[in-house]
Amino acid sequence: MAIQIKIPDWREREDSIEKVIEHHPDVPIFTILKTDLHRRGYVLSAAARAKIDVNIHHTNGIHLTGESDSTTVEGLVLRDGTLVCNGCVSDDEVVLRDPYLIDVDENDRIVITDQGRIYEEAEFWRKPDYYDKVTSKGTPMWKVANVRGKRIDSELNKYCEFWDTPGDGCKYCGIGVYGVQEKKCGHQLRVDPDDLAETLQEALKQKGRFLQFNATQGSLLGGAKLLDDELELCLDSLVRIKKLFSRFPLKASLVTTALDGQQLERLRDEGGIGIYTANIEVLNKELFQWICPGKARHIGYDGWKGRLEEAVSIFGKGNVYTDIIGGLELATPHGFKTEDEALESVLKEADLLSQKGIQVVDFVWRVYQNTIFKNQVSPSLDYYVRLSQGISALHDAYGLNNYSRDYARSGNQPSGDLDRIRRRSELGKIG
Amino acid sequence: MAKLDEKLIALIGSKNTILTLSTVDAKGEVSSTVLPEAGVDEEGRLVLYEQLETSQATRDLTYALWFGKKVALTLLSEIGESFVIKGIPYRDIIVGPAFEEKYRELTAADPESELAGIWIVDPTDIYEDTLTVRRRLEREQFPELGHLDKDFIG
Ligand code: SF4
Repeated sequence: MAIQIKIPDWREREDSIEKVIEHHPDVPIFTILKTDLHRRGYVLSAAARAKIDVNIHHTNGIHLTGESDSTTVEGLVLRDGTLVCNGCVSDDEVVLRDPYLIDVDENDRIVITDQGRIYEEAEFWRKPDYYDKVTSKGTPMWKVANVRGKRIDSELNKYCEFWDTPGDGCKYCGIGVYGVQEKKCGHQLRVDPDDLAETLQEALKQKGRFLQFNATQGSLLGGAKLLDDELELCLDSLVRIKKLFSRFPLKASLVTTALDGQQLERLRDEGGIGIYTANIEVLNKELFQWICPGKARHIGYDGWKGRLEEAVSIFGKGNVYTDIIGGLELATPHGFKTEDEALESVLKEADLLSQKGIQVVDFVWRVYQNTIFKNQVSPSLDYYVRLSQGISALHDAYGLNNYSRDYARSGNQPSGDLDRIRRRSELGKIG
Repeated sequence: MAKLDEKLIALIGSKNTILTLSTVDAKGEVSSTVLPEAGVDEEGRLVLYEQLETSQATRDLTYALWFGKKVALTLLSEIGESFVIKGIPYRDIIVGPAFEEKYRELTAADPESELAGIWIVDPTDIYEDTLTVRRRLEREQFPELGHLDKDFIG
Protein backbone atom coordinates (compact mmCIF):
# COMPACT_ATOMS: atom_id res chain seq x y z
CA MET A 1 0.00 0.00 0.00
CA ALA A 2 1.14 3.53 -0.69
CA ILE A 3 0.83 6.72 1.30
CA GLN A 4 -2.23 8.71 0.31
CA ILE A 5 -2.03 12.52 0.15
CA LYS A 6 -5.35 14.20 0.88
CA ILE A 7 -4.45 17.69 -0.39
CA PRO A 8 -2.33 17.03 -3.50
CA ASP A 9 -2.14 20.73 -4.41
CA TRP A 10 -1.19 21.95 -0.92
CA ARG A 11 2.08 23.43 -2.21
CA GLU A 12 0.10 25.89 -4.32
CA ARG A 13 -2.05 26.93 -1.37
CA GLU A 14 0.63 27.55 1.25
CA ASP A 15 3.93 29.37 1.59
CA SER A 16 6.92 27.11 1.07
CA ILE A 17 9.30 26.46 3.95
CA GLU A 18 11.84 28.70 2.19
CA LYS A 19 9.36 31.59 2.31
CA VAL A 20 8.57 30.90 5.96
CA ILE A 21 12.29 30.86 6.82
CA GLU A 22 12.70 34.15 4.94
CA HIS A 23 9.73 35.73 6.78
CA HIS A 24 11.10 34.72 10.17
CA PRO A 25 14.83 35.54 10.22
CA ASP A 26 14.76 35.47 14.03
CA VAL A 27 13.57 31.86 14.20
CA PRO A 28 16.18 29.14 13.69
CA ILE A 29 15.77 26.89 10.69
CA PHE A 30 16.04 23.90 13.05
CA THR A 31 12.79 24.82 14.80
CA ILE A 32 10.99 25.65 11.57
CA LEU A 33 12.09 22.37 10.02
CA LYS A 34 11.15 20.33 13.08
CA THR A 35 7.75 22.02 13.18
CA ASP A 36 7.16 21.13 9.54
CA LEU A 37 8.38 17.56 10.05
CA HIS A 38 5.80 17.22 12.82
CA ARG A 39 3.15 18.84 10.61
CA ARG A 40 3.79 17.07 7.33
CA GLY A 41 5.52 13.95 8.58
CA TYR A 42 8.45 12.11 7.06
CA VAL A 43 9.23 8.81 5.36
CA LEU A 44 12.52 6.97 5.10
CA SER A 45 14.09 6.14 1.74
CA ALA A 46 15.36 2.59 1.19
CA ALA A 47 18.91 3.89 1.75
CA ALA A 48 17.89 5.52 5.04
CA ARG A 49 16.10 2.37 6.15
CA ALA A 50 19.21 0.38 5.41
CA LYS A 51 20.99 2.60 7.93
CA ILE A 52 18.75 1.45 10.77
CA ASP A 53 20.59 -0.91 13.07
CA VAL A 54 18.09 -2.36 15.53
CA ASN A 55 20.91 -3.03 17.97
CA ILE A 56 21.85 0.63 18.07
CA HIS A 57 18.87 2.68 17.01
CA HIS A 58 15.65 3.30 18.82
CA THR A 59 12.86 1.39 17.11
CA ASN A 60 9.82 -0.49 18.43
CA GLY A 61 8.35 2.16 20.69
CA ILE A 62 5.26 1.94 22.83
CA HIS A 63 2.93 4.93 22.77
CA LEU A 64 -0.56 5.79 23.94
CA THR A 65 -1.56 5.66 20.27
CA GLY A 66 0.01 2.28 19.48
CA GLU A 67 3.31 0.51 18.99
CA SER A 68 5.86 1.11 16.25
CA ASP A 69 7.99 -1.58 14.59
CA SER A 70 11.59 -1.95 13.51
CA THR A 71 11.15 -0.64 9.96
CA THR A 72 11.39 2.91 11.16
CA VAL A 73 12.98 4.97 13.90
CA GLU A 74 11.37 6.58 16.90
CA GLY A 75 12.82 9.97 16.11
CA LEU A 76 15.57 12.17 14.74
CA VAL A 77 18.04 14.52 16.35
CA LEU A 78 19.32 17.55 14.48
CA ARG A 79 22.74 19.22 14.72
CA ASP A 80 21.71 21.63 17.44
CA GLY A 81 20.16 18.90 19.58
CA THR A 82 16.62 19.62 18.34
CA LEU A 83 14.50 16.49 18.60
CA VAL A 84 12.00 15.39 16.00
CA CYS A 85 9.60 13.24 17.98
CA ASN A 86 6.62 12.89 15.71
CA GLY A 87 5.94 12.55 12.08
CA CYS A 88 7.12 9.15 10.94
CA VAL A 89 4.51 8.20 8.35
CA SER A 90 3.70 4.51 7.92
CA ASP A 91 3.54 2.90 4.47
CA ASP A 92 -0.25 2.91 4.15
CA GLU A 93 -1.02 6.13 6.03
CA VAL A 94 -3.39 8.82 4.79
CA VAL A 95 -1.79 12.24 5.33
CA LEU A 96 -2.71 15.79 4.39
CA ARG A 97 0.51 16.87 2.72
CA ASP A 98 3.54 15.19 1.16
CA PRO A 99 5.91 14.06 3.87
CA TYR A 100 9.61 14.91 3.88
CA LEU A 101 12.02 12.22 2.70
CA ILE A 102 14.78 11.14 5.04
CA ASP A 103 17.58 10.03 2.75
CA VAL A 104 21.33 9.42 2.62
CA ASP A 105 23.58 11.91 0.78
CA GLU A 106 26.80 11.32 -1.15
CA ASN A 107 28.81 11.80 2.05
CA ASP A 108 26.83 8.98 3.64
CA ARG A 109 25.04 11.35 6.00
CA ILE A 110 21.38 10.93 6.91
CA VAL A 111 19.66 14.03 5.56
CA ILE A 112 16.22 15.62 5.59
CA THR A 113 15.07 16.31 2.05
CA ASP A 114 12.06 17.52 0.11
CA GLN A 115 11.76 17.53 -3.66
CA GLY A 116 15.46 16.75 -3.96
CA ARG A 117 16.64 19.64 -1.77
CA ILE A 118 18.67 18.81 1.34
CA TYR A 119 17.61 20.86 4.37
CA GLU A 120 19.69 19.49 7.21
CA GLU A 121 21.58 16.47 8.39
CA ALA A 122 20.06 14.30 11.10
CA GLU A 123 20.80 11.28 13.25
CA PHE A 124 18.51 8.49 14.31
CA TRP A 125 17.71 8.29 18.00
CA ARG A 126 19.70 5.69 19.89
CA LYS A 127 18.20 2.87 21.84
CA PRO A 128 18.75 3.09 25.60
CA ASP A 129 20.66 0.24 27.26
CA TYR A 130 17.68 -1.11 29.24
CA TYR A 131 15.45 -1.45 26.19
CA ASP A 132 15.83 -5.14 25.35
CA LYS A 133 15.85 -6.33 28.96
CA VAL A 134 12.99 -8.00 30.78
CA THR A 135 11.70 -7.35 34.30
CA SER A 136 11.69 -10.13 36.91
CA LYS A 137 7.96 -10.50 36.22
CA GLY A 138 8.80 -11.22 32.59
CA THR A 139 7.65 -7.89 31.10
CA PRO A 140 9.82 -6.51 28.30
CA MET A 141 11.17 -3.22 29.61
CA TRP A 142 10.45 -1.41 26.33
CA LYS A 143 6.78 -2.01 27.09
CA VAL A 144 7.15 -0.43 30.52
CA ALA A 145 8.90 2.78 29.52
CA ASN A 146 9.85 4.55 26.34
CA VAL A 147 12.42 7.28 25.76
CA ARG A 148 12.16 10.66 24.18
CA GLY A 149 15.28 12.77 24.08
CA LYS A 150 16.76 12.79 27.54
CA ARG A 151 13.53 11.74 29.21
CA ILE A 152 12.30 8.32 30.18
CA ASP A 153 8.55 8.08 29.78
CA SER A 154 5.98 5.73 31.13
CA GLU A 155 2.36 5.62 30.11
CA LEU A 156 0.82 4.27 33.26
CA ASN A 157 -2.58 3.50 31.79
CA LYS A 158 -3.52 3.15 28.13
CA TYR A 159 -7.26 3.59 28.45
CA CYS A 160 -9.05 6.93 28.79
CA GLU A 161 -12.43 6.73 30.52
CA PHE A 162 -13.81 9.72 28.65
CA TRP A 163 -14.38 7.14 25.91
CA ASP A 164 -16.79 5.20 28.14
CA THR A 165 -19.49 7.76 27.37
CA PRO A 166 -20.28 8.12 23.66
CA GLY A 167 -19.39 11.61 22.46
CA ASP A 168 -17.16 12.48 25.42
CA GLY A 169 -13.76 11.68 23.86
CA CYS A 170 -11.65 14.54 22.57
CA LYS A 171 -12.20 14.93 18.84
CA TYR A 172 -8.51 15.04 17.81
CA CYS A 173 -7.53 12.14 20.04
CA GLY A 174 -6.03 8.92 18.70
CA ILE A 175 -5.30 7.62 22.17
CA GLY A 176 -8.93 6.76 22.90
CA VAL A 177 -9.43 4.58 19.84
CA TYR A 178 -6.26 2.59 20.50
CA GLY A 179 -7.16 2.22 24.19
CA VAL A 180 -10.63 0.95 23.32
CA GLN A 181 -9.09 -1.69 20.99
CA GLU A 182 -6.57 -2.72 23.60
CA LYS A 183 -9.31 -3.03 26.21
CA LYS A 184 -11.44 -5.14 23.87
CA CYS A 185 -8.51 -7.45 23.13
CA GLY A 186 -7.99 -7.92 26.85
CA HIS A 187 -4.43 -6.56 26.66
CA GLN A 188 -2.64 -5.25 29.69
CA LEU A 189 -3.72 -1.62 30.06
CA ARG A 190 -1.66 -0.56 33.03
CA VAL A 191 2.00 -0.52 33.85
CA ASP A 192 2.86 -2.55 36.92
CA PRO A 193 4.56 -0.25 39.49
CA ASP A 194 7.12 -2.98 40.35
CA ASP A 195 7.96 -3.33 36.66
CA LEU A 196 8.32 0.42 36.40
CA ALA A 197 10.62 0.73 39.41
CA GLU A 198 12.74 -2.14 38.10
CA THR A 199 12.92 -0.62 34.62
CA LEU A 200 13.99 2.74 36.04
CA GLN A 201 16.60 1.06 38.17
CA GLU A 202 18.00 -0.63 35.08
CA ALA A 203 17.71 2.48 32.88
CA LEU A 204 19.65 4.65 35.31
CA LYS A 205 22.67 2.40 35.09
CA GLN A 206 23.27 4.25 31.83
CA LYS A 207 24.94 7.35 33.23
CA GLY A 208 24.32 10.64 31.46
CA ARG A 209 21.38 9.30 29.47
CA PHE A 210 18.38 10.77 31.30
CA LEU A 211 17.47 14.15 32.72
CA GLN A 212 13.87 13.47 33.69
CA PHE A 213 11.25 10.82 34.33
CA ASN A 214 7.82 11.56 32.88
CA ALA A 215 4.55 9.76 33.46
CA THR A 216 1.24 10.17 31.75
CA GLN A 217 -1.91 8.14 31.30
CA GLY A 218 -5.44 8.08 29.96
CA SER A 219 -7.97 9.77 32.26
CA LEU A 220 -9.47 7.72 35.09
CA LEU A 221 -12.58 9.48 36.28
CA GLY A 222 -13.70 7.25 39.15
CA GLY A 223 -12.97 7.12 42.86
CA ALA A 224 -14.44 8.67 45.98
CA LYS A 225 -14.01 12.00 44.22
CA LEU A 226 -13.64 12.72 40.48
CA LEU A 227 -10.17 11.56 39.32
CA ASP A 228 -9.21 9.89 42.60
CA ASP A 229 -8.56 6.68 40.66
CA GLU A 230 -6.10 8.53 38.42
CA LEU A 231 -4.41 10.08 41.43
CA GLU A 232 -4.05 6.70 43.16
CA LEU A 233 -2.66 5.15 39.98
CA CYS A 234 0.02 7.84 39.83
CA LEU A 235 0.79 7.63 43.53
CA ASP A 236 1.16 3.85 43.35
CA SER A 237 4.02 4.31 40.91
CA LEU A 238 5.50 7.49 42.37
CA VAL A 239 5.70 6.15 45.91
CA ARG A 240 7.61 3.17 44.58
CA ILE A 241 9.87 5.33 42.40
CA LYS A 242 10.61 7.76 45.23
CA LYS A 243 12.48 5.03 47.07
CA LEU A 244 15.05 4.98 44.28
CA PHE A 245 16.11 8.60 44.77
CA SER A 246 17.79 10.70 47.43
CA ARG A 247 16.80 14.23 46.40
CA PHE A 248 13.36 15.80 46.14
CA PRO A 249 11.41 17.04 44.36
CA LEU A 250 12.02 14.22 41.92
CA LYS A 251 13.48 15.19 38.56
CA ALA A 252 10.14 14.18 37.18
CA SER A 253 7.17 15.52 35.35
CA LEU A 254 3.67 14.21 35.67
CA VAL A 255 0.85 14.75 33.20
CA THR A 256 -2.68 14.12 34.46
CA THR A 257 -6.23 15.24 33.90
CA ALA A 258 -6.62 18.49 35.88
CA LEU A 259 -6.67 17.43 39.54
CA ASP A 260 -8.04 19.55 42.36
CA GLY A 261 -5.99 21.23 45.08
CA GLN A 262 -6.21 18.42 47.64
CA GLN A 263 -5.23 15.84 45.06
CA LEU A 264 -2.30 17.97 43.93
CA GLU A 265 -1.05 18.37 47.49
CA ARG A 266 -0.96 14.59 47.79
CA LEU A 267 1.00 14.37 44.54
CA ARG A 268 3.54 16.82 45.93
CA ASP A 269 3.71 15.40 49.47
CA GLU A 270 3.32 11.68 48.86
CA GLY A 271 4.52 11.49 45.26
CA GLY A 272 7.52 13.82 45.57
CA ILE A 273 6.53 15.69 42.43
CA GLY A 274 7.64 19.29 41.83
CA ILE A 275 6.52 19.82 38.25
CA TYR A 276 2.96 19.30 37.13
CA THR A 277 1.20 19.32 33.77
CA ALA A 278 -2.51 19.20 32.92
CA ASN A 279 -3.14 19.73 29.23
CA ILE A 280 -6.01 22.03 28.36
CA GLU A 281 -5.28 21.51 24.62
CA VAL A 282 -7.71 24.18 23.34
CA LEU A 283 -7.45 27.80 24.52
CA ASN A 284 -11.01 28.94 23.94
CA LYS A 285 -14.04 28.18 26.07
CA GLU A 286 -16.58 27.47 23.34
CA LEU A 287 -14.12 25.48 21.24
CA PHE A 288 -12.98 23.52 24.29
CA GLN A 289 -16.59 22.55 24.96
CA TRP A 290 -17.02 21.39 21.37
CA ILE A 291 -13.64 19.65 20.94
CA CYS A 292 -13.14 18.19 24.44
CA PRO A 293 -16.72 17.46 25.53
CA GLY A 294 -15.81 15.00 28.29
CA LYS A 295 -13.32 17.36 29.87
CA ALA A 296 -15.82 20.19 29.53
CA ARG A 297 -18.65 18.19 31.14
CA HIS A 298 -16.66 16.91 34.09
CA ILE A 299 -14.35 19.83 34.81
CA GLY A 300 -15.21 22.67 32.43
CA TYR A 301 -12.96 25.20 30.75
CA ASP A 302 -12.99 27.64 33.65
CA GLY A 303 -12.67 24.74 36.07
CA TRP A 304 -9.58 23.48 34.23
CA LYS A 305 -7.98 26.90 34.31
CA GLY A 306 -8.88 27.25 37.99
CA ARG A 307 -7.19 23.95 38.76
CA LEU A 308 -4.05 25.06 36.92
CA GLU A 309 -4.00 28.21 39.03
CA GLU A 310 -4.40 26.14 42.17
CA ALA A 311 -1.51 24.00 40.97
CA VAL A 312 0.69 27.12 40.81
CA SER A 313 -0.10 27.83 44.46
CA ILE A 314 1.10 24.29 45.27
CA PHE A 315 4.06 23.78 42.92
CA GLY A 316 5.12 27.40 42.39
CA LYS A 317 5.25 29.83 39.50
CA GLY A 318 6.64 28.28 36.34
CA ASN A 319 6.36 24.71 37.60
CA VAL A 320 2.89 24.14 36.15
CA TYR A 321 2.49 23.46 32.45
CA THR A 322 -0.41 23.11 30.08
CA ASP A 323 -0.04 21.95 26.50
CA ILE A 324 -2.14 23.13 23.63
CA ILE A 325 -2.51 21.45 20.28
CA GLY A 326 -1.88 24.32 17.93
CA GLY A 327 -4.37 24.56 15.12
CA LEU A 328 -7.41 23.02 16.81
CA GLU A 329 -8.74 26.55 17.16
CA LEU A 330 -9.12 26.60 13.36
CA ALA A 331 -11.15 23.39 13.14
CA THR A 332 -14.31 23.72 11.09
CA PRO A 333 -17.13 24.59 11.39
CA HIS A 334 -16.89 26.26 14.83
CA GLY A 335 -13.25 27.37 14.83
CA PHE A 336 -11.82 30.72 13.85
CA LYS A 337 -12.12 31.56 10.18
CA THR A 338 -8.64 33.00 9.71
CA GLU A 339 -5.20 32.19 11.08
CA ASP A 340 -4.71 35.80 12.20
CA GLU A 341 -7.88 35.78 14.30
CA ALA A 342 -7.03 32.39 15.77
CA LEU A 343 -3.51 33.44 16.67
CA GLU A 344 -4.61 36.65 18.32
CA SER A 345 -7.17 34.85 20.43
CA VAL A 346 -4.89 31.97 21.47
CA LEU A 347 -2.02 34.25 22.44
CA LYS A 348 -4.35 36.52 24.41
CA GLU A 349 -5.62 33.56 26.41
CA ALA A 350 -2.08 32.17 26.79
CA ASP A 351 -1.02 35.58 28.11
CA LEU A 352 -3.65 35.42 30.86
CA LEU A 353 -2.43 31.99 31.94
CA SER A 354 1.23 33.05 31.74
CA GLN A 355 0.53 36.03 34.01
CA LYS A 356 -0.56 33.52 36.62
CA GLY A 357 2.68 31.55 36.38
CA ILE A 358 1.34 28.77 34.14
CA GLN A 359 3.55 27.76 31.22
CA VAL A 360 1.57 27.22 28.05
CA VAL A 361 3.43 25.09 25.50
CA ASP A 362 2.42 24.10 22.00
CA PHE A 363 2.13 20.86 20.05
CA VAL A 364 1.78 20.65 16.30
CA TRP A 365 -1.54 19.08 15.36
CA ARG A 366 -1.19 16.04 13.18
CA VAL A 367 -4.58 14.99 11.80
CA TYR A 368 -4.85 11.24 12.33
CA GLN A 369 -7.34 9.22 10.37
CA ASN A 370 -8.52 7.27 13.41
CA THR A 371 -9.84 10.41 15.09
CA ILE A 372 -13.19 12.19 14.93
CA PHE A 373 -11.36 15.13 13.37
CA LYS A 374 -9.96 13.02 10.52
CA ASN A 375 -11.38 15.36 7.87
CA GLN A 376 -9.93 18.53 9.35
CA VAL A 377 -6.95 20.38 7.91
CA SER A 378 -4.09 21.57 10.11
CA PRO A 379 -2.89 25.15 9.55
CA SER A 380 0.05 26.51 7.62
CA LEU A 381 3.67 26.30 8.70
CA ASP A 382 3.71 30.07 9.05
CA TYR A 383 0.90 29.83 11.62
CA TYR A 384 2.85 27.36 13.73
CA VAL A 385 6.00 29.46 13.61
CA ARG A 386 4.10 32.56 14.73
CA LEU A 387 2.38 30.56 17.46
CA SER A 388 5.56 29.12 18.94
CA GLN A 389 7.28 32.50 18.74
CA GLY A 390 4.36 34.13 20.53
CA ILE A 391 4.30 31.52 23.26
CA SER A 392 8.04 31.56 23.83
CA ALA A 393 7.87 35.38 24.03
CA LEU A 394 5.29 35.00 26.82
CA HIS A 395 7.63 32.72 28.77
CA ASP A 396 10.25 35.42 28.42
CA ALA A 397 7.92 38.29 29.31
CA TYR A 398 6.73 36.62 32.53
CA GLY A 399 10.08 35.13 33.53
CA LEU A 400 8.89 31.53 33.13
CA ASN A 401 11.94 29.31 32.71
CA ASN A 402 10.93 26.23 30.75
CA TYR A 403 13.18 23.40 31.92
CA SER A 404 10.60 20.65 31.63
CA ARG A 405 8.67 20.71 28.38
CA ASP A 406 11.82 21.88 26.67
CA TYR A 407 14.01 20.82 23.77
CA ALA A 408 15.91 18.07 25.57
CA ARG A 409 13.37 16.61 27.97
CA SER A 410 10.25 16.67 25.88
CA GLY A 411 11.24 17.84 22.43
CA ASN A 412 7.68 17.93 21.24
CA GLN A 413 6.96 21.62 21.62
CA PRO A 414 8.50 24.15 19.21
CA SER A 415 8.11 26.93 21.81
CA GLY A 416 10.23 24.82 24.16
CA ASP A 417 12.96 24.80 21.50
CA LEU A 418 12.81 28.58 21.12
CA ASP A 419 13.02 28.94 24.91
CA ARG A 420 16.59 27.68 24.80
CA ILE A 421 18.02 31.15 24.29
CA ARG A 422 15.43 32.87 26.46
CA ARG A 423 15.71 30.94 29.70
CA ARG A 424 17.24 33.21 32.30
CA SER A 425 19.64 32.81 35.14
CA GLU A 426 21.99 35.17 36.81
CA LEU A 427 23.68 32.62 39.01
CA GLY A 428 26.53 34.07 40.99
CA LYS A 429 25.65 37.71 40.36
CA ILE A 430 27.26 39.75 43.13
CA GLY A 431 26.90 43.27 41.85
CA MET B 1 37.26 26.30 8.06
CA ALA B 2 40.52 27.69 9.47
CA LYS B 3 43.15 25.06 10.25
CA LEU B 4 44.50 24.61 13.76
CA ASP B 5 48.18 23.67 13.67
CA GLU B 6 49.81 21.12 15.96
CA LYS B 7 51.08 23.74 18.36
CA LEU B 8 47.59 25.16 18.86
CA ILE B 9 46.04 21.71 19.19
CA ALA B 10 48.56 20.88 21.90
CA LEU B 11 47.95 24.21 23.65
CA ILE B 12 44.18 23.74 23.61
CA GLY B 13 44.58 20.30 25.17
CA SER B 14 47.15 21.36 27.77
CA LYS B 15 46.05 21.47 31.40
CA ASN B 16 48.33 24.49 31.82
CA THR B 17 46.54 26.63 29.26
CA ILE B 18 43.92 29.10 30.46
CA LEU B 19 40.89 29.02 28.13
CA THR B 20 38.31 31.79 27.99
CA LEU B 21 35.17 31.60 25.89
CA SER B 22 33.57 34.86 24.76
CA THR B 23 30.04 34.90 23.42
CA VAL B 24 27.25 37.28 22.50
CA ASP B 25 23.53 36.82 23.08
CA ALA B 26 20.57 37.71 20.87
CA LYS B 27 20.49 41.26 22.28
CA GLY B 28 24.21 41.85 21.70
CA GLU B 29 25.12 41.47 25.38
CA VAL B 30 28.66 40.11 25.70
CA SER B 31 29.73 37.39 28.15
CA SER B 32 32.87 35.48 28.86
CA THR B 33 33.69 32.45 30.93
CA VAL B 34 36.76 30.40 31.80
CA LEU B 35 36.57 26.84 30.49
CA PRO B 36 38.12 24.05 32.53
CA GLU B 37 39.11 22.23 29.33
CA ALA B 38 38.60 22.01 25.57
CA GLY B 39 39.80 19.80 22.75
CA VAL B 40 40.06 19.39 19.00
CA ASP B 41 38.35 16.54 17.13
CA GLU B 42 39.72 14.50 14.20
CA GLU B 43 38.24 16.96 11.73
CA GLY B 44 40.04 19.91 13.28
CA ARG B 45 36.99 21.34 15.04
CA LEU B 46 37.05 22.78 18.52
CA VAL B 47 35.34 20.68 21.18
CA LEU B 48 33.94 22.61 24.13
CA TYR B 49 32.30 21.04 27.16
CA GLU B 50 29.57 23.10 28.77
CA GLN B 51 28.55 21.77 32.15
CA LEU B 52 25.56 23.90 33.06
CA GLU B 53 22.22 24.05 31.28
CA THR B 54 21.53 27.47 32.78
CA SER B 55 24.82 29.08 31.77
CA GLN B 56 24.99 32.11 29.54
CA ALA B 57 27.51 30.19 27.41
CA THR B 58 24.89 27.47 26.75
CA ARG B 59 22.38 30.07 25.61
CA ASP B 60 24.90 32.02 23.54
CA LEU B 61 26.42 28.97 21.86
CA THR B 62 22.89 27.96 20.89
CA TYR B 63 22.21 31.41 19.51
CA ALA B 64 25.48 31.33 17.56
CA LEU B 65 24.74 27.89 16.11
CA TRP B 66 21.22 28.91 15.13
CA PHE B 67 22.16 32.13 13.40
CA GLY B 68 25.72 31.50 12.19
CA LYS B 69 27.32 33.91 14.69
CA LYS B 70 30.87 33.63 15.96
CA VAL B 71 32.19 32.84 19.41
CA ALA B 72 35.83 33.32 20.47
CA LEU B 73 38.13 31.09 22.47
CA THR B 74 41.18 32.82 23.95
CA LEU B 75 44.17 30.71 24.99
CA LEU B 76 46.85 31.84 27.41
CA SER B 77 49.78 29.43 27.55
CA GLU B 78 51.93 28.86 30.62
CA ILE B 79 54.74 30.89 29.01
CA GLY B 80 52.46 33.84 28.29
CA GLU B 81 51.68 33.23 24.62
CA SER B 82 48.14 34.10 23.71
CA PHE B 83 45.92 33.08 20.78
CA VAL B 84 42.34 33.79 19.80
CA ILE B 85 40.32 31.26 17.82
CA LYS B 86 37.00 32.46 16.50
CA GLY B 87 34.48 29.99 15.21
CA ILE B 88 30.87 29.12 14.51
CA PRO B 89 29.23 26.33 16.52
CA TYR B 90 28.37 23.43 14.27
CA ARG B 91 26.86 20.84 16.58
CA ASP B 92 25.58 20.50 20.14
CA ILE B 93 25.84 16.90 21.27
CA ILE B 94 23.35 16.19 24.06
CA VAL B 95 22.88 12.43 23.66
CA GLY B 96 24.86 9.44 22.44
CA PRO B 97 28.07 7.59 23.24
CA ALA B 98 30.42 10.61 23.10
CA PHE B 99 28.19 12.53 25.50
CA GLU B 100 27.91 9.63 27.92
CA GLU B 101 31.64 8.92 27.83
CA LYS B 102 32.45 12.53 28.73
CA TYR B 103 29.76 12.55 31.43
CA ARG B 104 31.25 9.41 32.98
CA GLU B 105 34.74 10.93 32.85
CA LEU B 106 33.58 14.15 34.52
CA THR B 107 31.54 12.44 37.23
CA ALA B 108 34.38 10.00 37.95
CA ALA B 109 36.53 13.02 38.83
CA ASP B 110 33.75 14.84 40.67
CA PRO B 111 30.43 13.04 41.26
CA GLU B 112 28.59 16.37 41.36
CA SER B 113 29.74 17.33 37.85
CA GLU B 114 27.19 17.87 35.15
CA LEU B 115 27.33 18.01 31.38
CA ALA B 116 24.82 20.05 29.41
CA GLY B 117 26.32 19.75 25.96
CA ILE B 118 29.44 19.05 23.93
CA TRP B 119 29.84 21.89 21.48
CA ILE B 120 31.64 21.31 18.22
CA VAL B 121 32.84 24.60 16.75
CA ASP B 122 34.21 25.25 13.24
CA PRO B 123 37.25 27.54 13.57
CA THR B 124 36.92 30.50 11.20
CA ASP B 125 39.75 32.85 12.25
CA ILE B 126 42.92 32.29 14.24
CA TYR B 127 45.06 35.13 15.65
CA GLU B 128 48.15 35.25 17.71
CA ASP B 129 47.29 37.64 20.54
CA THR B 130 50.54 37.67 22.51
CA LEU B 131 51.26 41.34 23.32
CA THR B 132 54.90 41.31 22.20
CA VAL B 133 53.95 39.79 18.85
CA ARG B 134 51.12 42.26 18.26
CA ARG B 135 53.44 45.13 19.21
CA ARG B 136 56.05 44.00 16.70
CA LEU B 137 53.39 43.65 13.98
CA GLU B 138 51.94 47.07 14.75
CA ARG B 139 55.40 48.63 14.40
CA GLU B 140 55.95 46.88 11.09
CA GLN B 141 52.59 47.74 9.59
CA PHE B 142 51.97 51.17 11.12
CA PRO B 143 55.43 52.78 11.58
CA GLU B 144 53.77 56.18 12.04
CA LEU B 145 52.03 55.07 15.28
CA GLY B 146 53.34 55.02 18.83
CA HIS B 147 54.68 57.67 21.18
CA LEU B 148 57.08 60.14 19.78
CA ASP B 149 59.62 59.73 22.57
CA LYS B 150 60.26 56.13 21.43
CA ASP B 151 62.21 57.45 18.43
CA PHE B 152 63.72 60.51 20.11
CA ILE B 153 67.49 60.46 20.21
CA GLY B 154 68.03 63.97 21.58
S1 SF4 C 1 -8.42 13.26 27.81
FE1 SF4 C 1 -8.97 13.60 25.69
S2 SF4 C 1 -6.97 13.68 24.63
FE2 SF4 C 1 -6.60 12.74 26.60
S3 SF4 C 1 -6.75 10.56 26.22
FE3 SF4 C 1 -8.75 11.23 26.90
S4 SF4 C 1 -9.89 11.68 25.07
FE4 SF4 C 1 -7.74 11.57 24.51
